[in-house]
Amino acid sequence: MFDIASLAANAWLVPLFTALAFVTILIQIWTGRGGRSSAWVAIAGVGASGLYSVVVFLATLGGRAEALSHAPAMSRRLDWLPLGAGQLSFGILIDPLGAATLAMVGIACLMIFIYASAYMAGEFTLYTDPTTGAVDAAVGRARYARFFAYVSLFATGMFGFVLSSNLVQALLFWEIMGLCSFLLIGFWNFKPSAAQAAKKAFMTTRIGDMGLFIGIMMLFAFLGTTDYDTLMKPASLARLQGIGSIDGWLGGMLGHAVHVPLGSLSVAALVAICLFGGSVGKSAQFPLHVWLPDAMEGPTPVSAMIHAATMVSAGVFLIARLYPIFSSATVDHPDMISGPMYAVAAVGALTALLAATIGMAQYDIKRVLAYSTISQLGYMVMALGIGAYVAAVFHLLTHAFFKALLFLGSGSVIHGVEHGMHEAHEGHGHDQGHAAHPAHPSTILGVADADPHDPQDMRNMGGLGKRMPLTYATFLAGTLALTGIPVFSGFWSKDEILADAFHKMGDGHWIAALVWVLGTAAAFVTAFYMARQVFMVFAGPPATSGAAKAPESAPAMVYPLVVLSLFAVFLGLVGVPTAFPLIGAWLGGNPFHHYMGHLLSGGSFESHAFNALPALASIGAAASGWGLGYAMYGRRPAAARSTDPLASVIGVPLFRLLYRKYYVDELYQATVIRGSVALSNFDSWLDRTAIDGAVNGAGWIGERSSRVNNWIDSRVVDGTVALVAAVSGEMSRWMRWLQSGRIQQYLLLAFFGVLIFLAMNVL
Amino acid sequence: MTLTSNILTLITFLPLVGMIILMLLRDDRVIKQTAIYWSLLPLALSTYLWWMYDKAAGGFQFEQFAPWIRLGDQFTINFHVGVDGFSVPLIFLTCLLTTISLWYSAGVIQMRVKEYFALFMLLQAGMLGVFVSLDLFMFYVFFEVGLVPMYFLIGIWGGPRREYAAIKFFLYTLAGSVLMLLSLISVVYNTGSFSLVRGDMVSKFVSPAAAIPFLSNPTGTAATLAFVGFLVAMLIKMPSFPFHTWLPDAHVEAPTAGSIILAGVLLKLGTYGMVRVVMPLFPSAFRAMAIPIGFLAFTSIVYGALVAMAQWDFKKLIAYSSVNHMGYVLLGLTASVVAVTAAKDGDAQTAANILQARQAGIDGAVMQMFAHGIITGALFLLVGLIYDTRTHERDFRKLGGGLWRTVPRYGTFLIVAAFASLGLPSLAGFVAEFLVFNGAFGVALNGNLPFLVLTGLSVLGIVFTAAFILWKIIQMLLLGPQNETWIGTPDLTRSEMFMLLPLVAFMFIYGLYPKWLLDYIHPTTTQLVTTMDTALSLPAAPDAASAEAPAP
Amino acid sequence: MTPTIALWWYLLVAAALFSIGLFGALSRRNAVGVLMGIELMLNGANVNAVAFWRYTGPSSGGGLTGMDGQVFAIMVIALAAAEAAVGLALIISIYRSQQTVLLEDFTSLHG
Repeated sequence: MFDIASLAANAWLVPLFTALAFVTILIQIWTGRGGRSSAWVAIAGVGASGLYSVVVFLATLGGRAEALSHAPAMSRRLDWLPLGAGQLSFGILIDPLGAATLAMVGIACLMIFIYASAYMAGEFTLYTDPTTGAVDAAVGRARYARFFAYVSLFATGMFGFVLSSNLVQALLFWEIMGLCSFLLIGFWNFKPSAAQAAKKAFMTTRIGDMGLFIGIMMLFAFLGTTDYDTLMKPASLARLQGIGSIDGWLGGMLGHAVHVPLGSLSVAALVAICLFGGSVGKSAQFPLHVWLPDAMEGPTPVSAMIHAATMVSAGVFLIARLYPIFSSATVDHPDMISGPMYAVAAVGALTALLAATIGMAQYDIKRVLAYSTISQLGYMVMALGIGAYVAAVFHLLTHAFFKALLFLGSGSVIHGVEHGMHEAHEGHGHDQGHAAHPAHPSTILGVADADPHDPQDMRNMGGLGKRMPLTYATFLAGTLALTGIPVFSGFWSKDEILADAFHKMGDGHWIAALVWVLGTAAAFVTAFYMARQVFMVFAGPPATSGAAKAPESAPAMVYPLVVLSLFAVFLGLVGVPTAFPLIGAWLGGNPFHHYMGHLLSGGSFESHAFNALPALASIGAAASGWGLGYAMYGRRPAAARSTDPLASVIGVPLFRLLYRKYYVDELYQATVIRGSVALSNFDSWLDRTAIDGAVNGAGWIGERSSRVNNWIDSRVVDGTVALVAAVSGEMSRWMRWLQSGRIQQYLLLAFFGVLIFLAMNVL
Repeated sequence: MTLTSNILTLITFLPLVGMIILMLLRDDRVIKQTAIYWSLLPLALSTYLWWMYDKAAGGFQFEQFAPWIRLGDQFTINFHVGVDGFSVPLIFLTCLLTTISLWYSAGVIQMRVKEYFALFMLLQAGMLGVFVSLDLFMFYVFFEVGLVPMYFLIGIWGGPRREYAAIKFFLYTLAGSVLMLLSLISVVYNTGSFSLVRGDMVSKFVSPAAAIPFLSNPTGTAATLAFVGFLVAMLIKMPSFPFHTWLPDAHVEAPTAGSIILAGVLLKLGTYGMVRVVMPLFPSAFRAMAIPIGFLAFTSIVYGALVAMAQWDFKKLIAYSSVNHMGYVLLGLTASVVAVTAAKDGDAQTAANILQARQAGIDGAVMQMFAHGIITGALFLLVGLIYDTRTHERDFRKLGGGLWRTVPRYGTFLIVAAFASLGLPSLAGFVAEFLVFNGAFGVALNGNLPFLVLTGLSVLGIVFTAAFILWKIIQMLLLGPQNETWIGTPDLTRSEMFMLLPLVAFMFIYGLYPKWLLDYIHPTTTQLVTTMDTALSLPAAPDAASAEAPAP
Repeated sequence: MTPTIALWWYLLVAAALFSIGLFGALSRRNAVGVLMGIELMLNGANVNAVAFWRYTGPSSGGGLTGMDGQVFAIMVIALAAAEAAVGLALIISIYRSQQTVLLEDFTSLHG
């Protein structure tokens, strides 16, 4: 049963289980049977998928990993469409990267689904009949079922993406995830803001997808295939490299030498950068990060799905999967840094720090986490950019668990505060449901005041640690993991990234220095804003009556938190460097590195010697971040104060800049969006006036010239005709006496005619 | 004289018989029912045709041949019908959309019922005739036959500005037809044959030796003029920028069923003419003008999407989206002839990649014809369903807001069709766009910079298409707070869902498993490419294709 | 067998019949009379046809091999019957609407 080849041959079952759940729930909805049972269907589906994923993962353990990297387990293939002389085939590819990610997705999704079955119960009473105003239970049940249909499809997309054996297949599942994120972010689309956020998410990621799309087309053009195992063959990579620089390539087309900006980059680098575009969109890297915070309009389990288990991980997974292409300049030494990797590393590092700084000035509990996700994804991306492949994948896995934990924890908090508010103000119902929160009532200096009815605003919380102890404990475990406090999982993965950067810095790569500096700075900022969040939410006295009366959430919501927190605490121990003091050797000498450190292209990564300096630096950054957070938010309740302590330290204008997310949204609104709409209006005007005008003008000219013709026609041409008619008319008038109507006259004439004819014949 | 040997003649002329039968009937109800049931006959036959077509063998099948009109000693106009992998799916599409259109029309057409259904039958015969003709003269005649009924359908049963739209449609497309007629005469005098079977295509009745393509010298004035004549006729019908302005008017004014047929099938006559007539006859002239044509394709894609984004009328928006989608077809077809300076001469892998790309371009274009037919057909049907009998409102601003909640079944169908139109993977439109761009990039990256620029910019069209569909159709109509005006609007009935069901099913089937469709298209594509390569005096083998245009 | 009566006797009778018929057709005011005149003319022609067949046709040599004249005559008889039927029907129909059978009253086709 644990034979990886036969497991891989049937791994298509993994996405199939959730897909079946999706279809089953759709049928339930269509026949009016959706409801509680739909959640069970979805959980059963993802449970089966998760179980199979874990079995596949376990089968790859025990020394099989390296073999699998060089000859990944491929199952039978399905021809998808004829292409050229061959076929484009779909298949299943399992290697350590895929197997580990698959297991992570399976477990995280299962926890999220169980959590959601309780969290989404509010749907049942959320919808009212528009005419009578009574609660419309049928709609509520259908909506509840629909949620589980969407998340099942979402999980299908992610499973399929991870298992894909070529880029086209991956793109298919990738876009299914895009669709699901659209549907789920816009789940409460009766709120215009949710509909808007859904559209923004889809459009922004689609812009990134265009890069991926072009990249795929380039691979087809140059290599004729996008099958991973062919693509990663050294021969293919060498062929891609053989095209040479962009300058030379363009020159070959034009027939003379040319020089363009960045023309000395190789064409292979261009391909890699295009492919990276897809990751920038999906993994919300700067400058396409804007959709992710808005995605908080979706229900909280969706945020966990998107941020942890599925969509944003897919972007990082894609770079990891295609890593040999990124590093193809250095096939033999995969941890060297190639041209496109500089771009990847720079984008990642910039994103890591910028997003973290924005996170410092947010009040929405989920938005803080959203920016933290962007920032952590930046870590992974920059790690891949400096060749810290194993560290990046490690961080991808640990982050998935602790971020899912944090999101679900925040959902539990929101749920609790909402109930508290509901109890405190009878009649103020389930808040997510209501048409929209009124826009923040007033803004002082561009920063909104707290809306006292907003259950997501951290200024309305405080003191929840006592009201919701289990949520608090698990949330704290997640926070410690995220901020990189030793022993917790995030420390090991984040530290490995920074250690790799430090090591590369020693090799003289300036980009590694940038990554290390920005990464350590971001670690400090991360610790600060997470401390701010923990203190604002859980510590001090409650700021509102809602927070004061918040109950602990239902068991179905809390137990998944407990399970996830186990991963958040202990998962990091599989990747402890061998030389780490005290425990390194005892923990098996970094088994994760041995498991993951091989590439499809044949290269493998060496683990670096342990260096205490970067580890101490990152611990120091995290500790000082926590310390500063405690100093500013922990000692006095923030909610009581009129200005945020941070604002009073760094100044209101700077705080406003952060609160407004560096005005990137406004910039896009003013340039890209406004520009497109203006261009489309201009084109439409052009179409009506110039192009259709030309057509109508041609018609007008035709009509006018027809009038001239008409004159000629009526006078000259028709005159001639009339003359002929008049002449023949006269003649006929003269002839008509012959036509008397008397039969016998005709007979007589005929008789004489015959006679004359005979006479002529005779004569 | 079995069914199989006569099937094409039967499919084409059964609608005419139906028209005569309809004209003998009196009662409106009986006319409607007879029309619907009668249209099932060609539908059944076309399904059988698809089933029976031997995709492994490829080439023309089910041929029938008879000399028809002798012009002197030299030329014979033949009655020659036959189908290949391009026409089989389109014949099925025509029959399917006709049945759905008639079914829908039976519910909404109350005025001059007999004329309406009779004209529809004539329209169907004309469209089917184009797809089965293998003789240029027959092709031309059928190409024109469809015009008349469509003119009356728009002009009598259309919206408020129906006369203007009808006359514009008629004159515009007729202008193209006149050019085509002149070119047709030129072709016949230059090649001595009306046959559309050329070069390496496989036919029972026409020997390939006799069927040389029209002048393969790209500088020949006669060839170029004749090519331009055919091209403009097809571009108008397609329609491509800048010949597209008849389309929005015609769509907005046409009755719903007219729009379905217009977008679903009539536009395909133009693109089908490209693959059936223009490309086998004029590969050299096409190659010589590939970049300007590619520019038209790019403009149709991006400009069509941008103009669509500015529309507030549901029908007009879909009409412009058709311009955008037909641009993909033109781009894919152009990709198959564009000259390339392969980066590495003599490299077998590069040559194979280029050949693969050229085939993908045509595959994608033909797939897009089918996909656009079902997707846009479904979208126009959905517009009709909400406009004709429910709201009488097509303006997004007034119609919009929370329709998904108000009419959930309608919303579900609309969102599927909209996402298909947007090119979402797993729905049919994506596969077509993927193949088109695969072809366009595949040739351009291997050595045609102007075409590369055009293709690269065309990708923007995908973004803009997504933008207007998400913004206008999905966000404004379906999502958001419910518009109280329409609360209580009845949802789709069972029979209305049955009309939509086959279209949506095909979107999924060919989106999830396109092989079922492309297995028919691809062998024919291979033959077409070989034919063109022979005409371009190129060996078709992949190892030599790279020699096709040495670097200047 | 050679006929004893010479051919011109038959022709004389036929010419007489034809002339009487022609006179009747041209001079009668009553449409029925005109019709009867036409019948006479036809029968005159019939007599001619049979007579010429008997005297100058291929049968004159003895055997009755060719039947042309006979066939002609029978054809004309059949035609005459049809003509009479149609003509009388027309006359009755005209009488019903016009209450007259006089030809000078039916001049609605005059120019």
